[in-house]
Amino acid sequence: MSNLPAWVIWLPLAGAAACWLVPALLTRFTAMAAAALTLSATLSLALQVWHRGPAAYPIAGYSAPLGIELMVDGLALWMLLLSGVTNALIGIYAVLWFPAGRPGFWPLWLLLWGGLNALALSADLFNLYVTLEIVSLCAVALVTLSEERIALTAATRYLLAAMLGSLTYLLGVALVYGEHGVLALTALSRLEQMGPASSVALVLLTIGLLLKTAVFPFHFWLPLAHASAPAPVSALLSALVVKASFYLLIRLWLFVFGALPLMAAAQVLGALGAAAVLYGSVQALRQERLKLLVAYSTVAQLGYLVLAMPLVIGTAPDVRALAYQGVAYHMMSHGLVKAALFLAAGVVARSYGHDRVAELKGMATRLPVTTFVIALAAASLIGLPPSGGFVAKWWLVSAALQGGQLGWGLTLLLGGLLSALYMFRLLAIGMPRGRPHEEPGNEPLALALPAFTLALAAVAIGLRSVELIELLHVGAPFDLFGGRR
Amino acid sequence: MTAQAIYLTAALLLFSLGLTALLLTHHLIRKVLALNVMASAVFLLLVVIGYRPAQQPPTEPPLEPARSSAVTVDSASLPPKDGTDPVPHALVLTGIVVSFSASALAVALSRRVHAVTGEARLPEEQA
Amino acid sequence: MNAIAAVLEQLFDALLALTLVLLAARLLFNRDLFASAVLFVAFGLTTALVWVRLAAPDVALAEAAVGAGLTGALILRAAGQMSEGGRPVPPRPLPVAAVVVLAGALCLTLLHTLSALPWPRSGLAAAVSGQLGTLGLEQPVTAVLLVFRGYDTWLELAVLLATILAVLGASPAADLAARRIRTEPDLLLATLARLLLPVAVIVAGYMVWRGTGAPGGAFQGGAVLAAAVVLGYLAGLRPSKALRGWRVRLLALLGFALPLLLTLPALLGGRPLFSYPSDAPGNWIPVIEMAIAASVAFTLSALFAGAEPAAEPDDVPIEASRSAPDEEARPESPPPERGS
Repeated sequence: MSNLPAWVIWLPLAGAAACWLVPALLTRFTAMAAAALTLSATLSLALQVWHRGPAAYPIAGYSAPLGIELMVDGLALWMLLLSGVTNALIGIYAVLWFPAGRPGFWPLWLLLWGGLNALALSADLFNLYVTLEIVSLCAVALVTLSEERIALTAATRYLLAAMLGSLTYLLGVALVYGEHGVLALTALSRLEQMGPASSVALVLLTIGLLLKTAVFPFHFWLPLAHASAPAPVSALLSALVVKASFYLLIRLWLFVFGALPLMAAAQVLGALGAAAVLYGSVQALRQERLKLLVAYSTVAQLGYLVLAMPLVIGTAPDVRALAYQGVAYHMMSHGLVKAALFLAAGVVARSYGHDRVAELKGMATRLPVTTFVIALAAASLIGLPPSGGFVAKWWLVSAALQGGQLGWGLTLLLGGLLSALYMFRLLAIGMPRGRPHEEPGNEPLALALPAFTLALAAVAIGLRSVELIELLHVGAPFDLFGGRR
Repeated sequence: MTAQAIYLTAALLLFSLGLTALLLTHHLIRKVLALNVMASAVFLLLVVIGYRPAQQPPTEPPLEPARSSAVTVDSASLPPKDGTDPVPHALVLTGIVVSFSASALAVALSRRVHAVTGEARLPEEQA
Repeated sequence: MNAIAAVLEQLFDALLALTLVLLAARLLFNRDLFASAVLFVAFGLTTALVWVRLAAPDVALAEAAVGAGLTGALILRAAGQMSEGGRPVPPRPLPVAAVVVLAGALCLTLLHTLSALPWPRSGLAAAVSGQLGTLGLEQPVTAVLLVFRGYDTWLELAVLLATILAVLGASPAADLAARRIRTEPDLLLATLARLLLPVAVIVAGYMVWRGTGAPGGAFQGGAVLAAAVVLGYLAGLRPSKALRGWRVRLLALLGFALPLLLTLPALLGGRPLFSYPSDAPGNWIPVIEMAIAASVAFTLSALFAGAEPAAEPDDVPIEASRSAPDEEARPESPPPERGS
């Protein structure tokens, strides 16, 4: 195994330190250099895993259970790729968004990126706790960069929720160590039997992660925190930060605690997801402000991820593979789309000086590229072909049909319908009626371009899914469709 | 009751008390206090899990020793006092610093909230 | 004889545990916030006693310095500045009942699950001791912290870095100078702080140095030093003028960046992350520990100072500028929503 997994973590964290230390003039340059290097390391690692299969990377040469190992497999790479591409594009946007005199964003952003990468690769329950803390504290700190007054209370509420989540998670870690005496995920996944302490531990770990993922009914902190943050930060939070804790949830349920009977518990998660889809969508329909609409849409879309759990846990192998692919695809496609939407919302807010939905008449004339981004994103959120959102939903609904779990399938379709409603409402207001009364031309194209690229990427992953799925199946706990190794 | 049982019970009581206070109080500093008590409870639980009274030697872990080429684990070579597991201690040391970091940020934000709104609690309103 | 000693020991354990729980209950549900903060310090010190009792002296040192000392100072300070405006909100019976049931159920479930575990559990004690000899280290906790789980420790320093960035922003020196904890130096306290600081430096250095072979180490030493610096802040002493700009940032970064740089040759040479440059990590650990201790001391004390709201730009009488919002807020602050 090469050192690429280490570089993927080392580079952004070293970049964070460097761009804090250098004079303010060089901050952005340093940050961009670190971002470029991190992205290329991520892509090389993806290629390597795709060719050579999964591997464990023992840190300092001490393998688990004494040392800490990184687990380099398809699912980890899935998260790393999402984080790499999205972070890089958000970073370009942020160069243009933040005035040169305010360097506060850059070191925190790179720390967050490093934390996300460390989380994606870590295969140790306690190490994951530390990475979760890096991610949460950076996220909270980034929200406080906002000039909106309400951001301060939103960030405080977010921090308290995140701290409760961390402690609940850590309590679960303590129980696992109490029963098994190990923290390494690989060692745990090899256990044939798990006692009642493990079940209780998994419940605690799950609640902690649900709090950080803002799954209904733990969503209370999300809308204001995501909506009041500066646009690039909103994009980071909605696209990546909440995904990271969900990613860990998937890893624990599918890869680590497979020995436990999880079917009934998965149904409970499914119910929470269904509630989140309905609640979030209805709230999104009611919002007056664009950023809040997008934030509530995140609440709904996170619901889909959890909703898929009963399709992945304890079902027939083919259903399971479909649902697993669906969840992974939804994670990636929603990450790209939501980043694009929040960046676009930032362009709208800059251009109009506000983001009140009702007053965005003629947006399509005034901001054609941005409106196109929103339309593309809408297509993927609703699940129209050929977007990544369509592929994700197709697989999830097929899994529900094949598995005979019609209820979940219907909720998925209903959710798509509701997202169509709230996105069409936005687009209908933005579309020009009759003679255009807005002057085109003053659109900040440099800002709109990264958003456009993200929205395009969300469509592209729908068109080109074979390689991505092959990558996803590297090292998956269930070997299907000729998944490599 | 053994020492483990006593401190185990104490840890769980502390966690529950802290959770109750966190959910029921409104003052931000009280919430930070509650979270700190809960953190202490988790740390106590971890240390209790690692604690072994001196007379009982640790049982051999049923896992392959780390670093295949390196020294194999041999419980006979252990010094007699070495019953206690150092790993939970290291975890708790890390946890204490992490928990302090989060608390420091929470206190700083609370004081900013107080300076800006004049209130020591979060507003009830939701967006 | 043995039987009596055992009974006495259990009695002591039971009393200590009971004290801990009662202190927690008092501090959490007390009317007076400041009293709660004082009780929290007592709670931290009692916890430190428990750590000693449970054969965890390293944790006891850290708890006394960080848990009781620094967190306590932070909370005492905040409790003094953020008194509860108006009367407390009367608790609503339904949520109270729900929360109490939830917490009680959680407690009982966990108690049931955990008491079913066979004691003592195996854990990794044997694996650690087996490797200790090859490292040139005597202290198993240090070996776990800096070798086997050194990656955790490094990421923990990243957490500290994130926090200092969050609390003090990108220019910590300028920001620290803006925090005025006290305008007029308290002569007595200032003298005490000046006397204590060199002592703290020696104690901290000793703790770090001894940490390879005995309880103590980088974090405990750094925390002791930080506590002395906090005392200086409380006495109204200001950070040295020499400490500004990139020097401050470097000090804050030292503990995080040194392992980062030390591992670079290994990474470039194809050896794994955090492989120590030479084969015996024992040689490098004191250097790394010193760097960590310096960063921890700076960061923890700066986090204390940074929790103060920034004062107005210079030459505004600080007491006035700080107390003004308070005085305005108190009469204006609306009566509790669900009060009378």
